Amino acid sequence: MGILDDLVRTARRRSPWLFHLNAGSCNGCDIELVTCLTPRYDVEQLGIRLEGSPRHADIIVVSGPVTRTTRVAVETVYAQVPDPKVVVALGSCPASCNVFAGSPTIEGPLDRIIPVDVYVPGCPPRPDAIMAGIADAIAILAGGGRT
Amino acid sequence: MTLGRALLQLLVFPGLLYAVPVAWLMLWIERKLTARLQGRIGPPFYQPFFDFVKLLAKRPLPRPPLQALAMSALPVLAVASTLGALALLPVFPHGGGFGGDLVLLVALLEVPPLCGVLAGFVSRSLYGELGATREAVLSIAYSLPFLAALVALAAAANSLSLSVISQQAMWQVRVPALIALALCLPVKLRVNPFSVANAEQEIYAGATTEFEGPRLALWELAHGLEWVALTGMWAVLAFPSADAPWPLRASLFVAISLLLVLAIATVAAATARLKLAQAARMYWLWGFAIGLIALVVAMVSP
Amino acid sequence: MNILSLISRNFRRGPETLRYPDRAVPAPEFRGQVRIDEAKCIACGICDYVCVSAAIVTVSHDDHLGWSYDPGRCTFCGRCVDHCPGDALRQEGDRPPTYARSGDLRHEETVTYPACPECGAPARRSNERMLALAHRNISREFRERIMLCDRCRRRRSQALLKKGFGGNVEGERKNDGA
Repeated sequence: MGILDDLVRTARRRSPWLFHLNAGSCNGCDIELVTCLTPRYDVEQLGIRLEGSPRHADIIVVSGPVTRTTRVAVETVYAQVPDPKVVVALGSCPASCNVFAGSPTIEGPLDRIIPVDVYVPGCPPRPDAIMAGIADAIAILAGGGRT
Repeated sequence: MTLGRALLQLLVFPGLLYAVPVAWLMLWIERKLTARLQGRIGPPFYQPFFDFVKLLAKRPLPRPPLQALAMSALPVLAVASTLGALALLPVFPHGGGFGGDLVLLVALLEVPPLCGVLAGFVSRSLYGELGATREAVLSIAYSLPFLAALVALAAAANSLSLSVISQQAMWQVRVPALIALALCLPVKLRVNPFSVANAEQEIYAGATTEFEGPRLALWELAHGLEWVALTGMWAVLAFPSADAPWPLRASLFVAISLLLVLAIATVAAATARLKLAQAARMYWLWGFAIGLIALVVAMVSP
Repeated sequence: MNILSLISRNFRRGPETLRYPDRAVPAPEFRGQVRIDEAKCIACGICDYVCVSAAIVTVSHDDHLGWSYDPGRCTFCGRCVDHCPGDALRQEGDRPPTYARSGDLRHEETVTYPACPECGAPARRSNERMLALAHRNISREFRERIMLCDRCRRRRSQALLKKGFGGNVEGERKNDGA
């Protein structure tokens, strides 16, 4: 039904819940992500909540080049997030491994392991860049999301 | 209490039709006030409603059949028992309620935490079990002042009927009992300083870690309904019900519930999380002390 | 009581939040994307060499240098800006945009070599800073020779060598009295 679809789409746009996954990051991007929760940037004004469990989330934000020891975690967590879901690659590490490219302990850019929808460049990205990336992810989510 | 009256109280006021929107309102007030006290903007007005719809529209992953049955049944049970507890509240004491409904109220209010504990264990997750264990320890601890306060009120009014208690209990007993009950509210609602049972930074999401989609939507709804039921219970016991016209009674009920929400949210914004041992000790000592005072006053009063 | 005064002050003052999509303006020194000024570039390739994350990739062709940069790989460390002998690189004061596919932000610039003063062919050139880095004593003749293309430079070096050994250069008469 049209109106029900519209309601669901609006609800997905207004209530995106995040789960943050650190796949071997140096923590710079993680710090900037948490800064988005502080009073200056306050992502809750968009209805975003940082959730404790991947099963509660719609958007997975991954930071870090995927190290050998976190590869299984990334695959497991991606499988645990219920559909519809969106993956955001935070920083330049999940996009290209940055300075770590070619290292034997790095399992490569994130899109070798899970499909990525939005890339937020920066090292680390500014909080307003992260919010812009999350806004892109919300638009994908409200438009149907990646299944 | 006639069947028609019972259905009215269960489905309209203070039951389903009133409780669900007010649950969302209370959840929003709590989040908005916390945000403003922290210098943030906070979520917009319709946020809990959209959270609920979004969760209903998720496509959860399949689970083994028995686990799926248990994980679906527990939040439904939590919602149903909270609605039942709400229906028993004597907002309009004449003609509603029956002898002994205090016992039923206590039983119904014990079901949501019990379902929460069971949910943590049935989800077979380490974090679920940790959250469930903390919840269980805290529920034993706060049951002491909670039940002591209610027993004191019943003894003072010489009856186990909520309508009689809310009309007749005298102030010497009412005040310590209400203080004891107010002390129990933050821990039953899992807010600071007693939010150790669902501490996200430590145990992921606690008991609800493995719940997703519609089941999680029902848990959030149960949480919201608990806000309405517990603040409503306190509101109903807080004002002596003389013969007041029913619009006044209804609006006082709503107003006192909302004021209590504001007070709880302010305390939550101003405090940090206590450890499990500290929280439990606080209830075993101070909660017990105040409950004991209420009991003693009830016993010695004529 | 400190926390109560803090939260009541927060409540009275109102939120400090930037309402989305308003942004905080970055400071003028903010190190954003790297931009190249083709006029100043001498196509030495040092930026490619010092780049820690392979964000800058230079490819030498016969008549131009292909300078390719991917902000998605960049660490914004500024090593390329610091080491560039021509001061051709600078970091802009704003952040790169979000994108949907890896490599989407990579863009190429072309640095054409200037013409050789003698024959007009494309000639990679140098500049003062590079010369100071590479050589100790720089004569005027050397500076002129540096501006030539490979062929002309080689020819001039051969002529100088021949002259140095006492031989004739084309078109020049022997005048040392031997």
